[in-house]
Amino acid sequence: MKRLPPVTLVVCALALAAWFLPALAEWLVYDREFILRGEFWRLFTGHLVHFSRSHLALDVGAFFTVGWLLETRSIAPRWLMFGMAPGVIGLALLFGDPAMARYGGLSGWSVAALVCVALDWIKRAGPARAPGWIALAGLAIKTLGEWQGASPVFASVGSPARLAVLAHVSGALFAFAATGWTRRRSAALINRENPA
Amino acid sequence: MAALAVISGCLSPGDRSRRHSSSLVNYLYPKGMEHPDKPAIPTLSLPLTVGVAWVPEGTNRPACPMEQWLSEERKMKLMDTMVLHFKSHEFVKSIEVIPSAYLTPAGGFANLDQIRAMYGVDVIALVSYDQVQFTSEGLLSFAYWTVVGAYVVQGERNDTQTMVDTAVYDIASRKLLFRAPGTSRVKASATPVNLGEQLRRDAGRGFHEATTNMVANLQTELARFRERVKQSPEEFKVVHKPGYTGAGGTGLGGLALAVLLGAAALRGRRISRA
Repeated sequence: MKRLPPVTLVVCALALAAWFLPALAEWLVYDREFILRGEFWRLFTGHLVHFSRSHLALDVGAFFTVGWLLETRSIAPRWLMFGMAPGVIGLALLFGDPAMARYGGLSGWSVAALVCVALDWIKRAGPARAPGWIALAGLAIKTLGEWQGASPVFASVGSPARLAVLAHVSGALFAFAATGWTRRRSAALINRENPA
Repeated sequence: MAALAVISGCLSPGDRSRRHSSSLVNYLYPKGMEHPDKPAIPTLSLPLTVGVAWVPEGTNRPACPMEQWLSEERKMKLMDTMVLHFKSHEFVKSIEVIPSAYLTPAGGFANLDQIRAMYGVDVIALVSYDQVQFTSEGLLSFAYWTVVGAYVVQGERNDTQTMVDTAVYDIASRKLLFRAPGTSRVKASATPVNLGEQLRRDAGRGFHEATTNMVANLQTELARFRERVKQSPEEFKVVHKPGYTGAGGTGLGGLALAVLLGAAALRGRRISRA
């Protein structure tokens, strides 16, 4: 198991830099109008921008934890999580929530990573799968409550932004798909190397 | 003779000129106004609800036949061109086209406050215009001496110059945010018999071309204004209405789930070392 999670540290550092440098945040933030004009990087970099101190602290704290687990445990779809998940979430917001003109926050990305780690936990741990199942169940209850329009379950993004539940849902779905694809690919490779 | 007297306010002997216009300054700051409102720092609450309206023409003017081209229906159609171009901006929630009947001549900001209460608009784009039509007789006008010449020889030379100007105001603070002009020039010729019809056609074409030019300039000025707002936050206050901005919020619940997995991983590592 590796010790340091370099990619996670870089992402967290960029999120902190965006908080302390408003000019950088303006350049990174998901802005629907600028994306449609061709500034596609904002689909990926919008997750680095936060709108309040508590928003920044909780998002970076959660992302650091799951990102550390994703990298140090060498969980298979981690490169899809780091490379593709933010873009997939950005596209989901672009097409699924046209009323949202601006977006920011690491939580969608964190949810994708958390689902990935939980699924890996469930697969590996054998009888001690409980933390993985608890994490998935907790996430499902939290997201369902937010989707139904109940008060966000322990989530606060600071006024006047509204909670982007679609970011969490799309992150989770992408993690399920990426994990499933990675496992099928691994199984196919193993079968090829060791034909019965 | 009576007809000539009626239209004398519009025509002059020899080379003739006709002018019709609306004045933004006279509308917002009518004569006799003692204490004009001083502009304050505007608060732009995104996304904006924008109103578009034509500045009313003045009251103490002789009615000009050429003004009849710019009917209410035509004014609305010209504004539709503007609305189409700006509706797609994400910071614009909606654009309300305000009928001319709701703006009173020399109504000032008090009139705009009424419009704001009726329509809920935050900012208003006021469109004013100035159109001058010159008519002169060319050499071909000698053919008018024949009966047929007056019907078929296009000896009347017309020159129609149009300016359309849009000024965007934040109603609450009385502040002019930005403005953009559009101009056009239409040259045509006509017979004396169909002069009136040709002038109305030229007036229409002049307004269309000036409006197209104005919309292009308005987009440029809007981009410049957005840069100014970013670079001069002391001049403008920008707030976002609920729903405009979305955020992914992990919250305490998400953090707790992440910490749960982290703690379980650390416990597992300690057990495997032990």
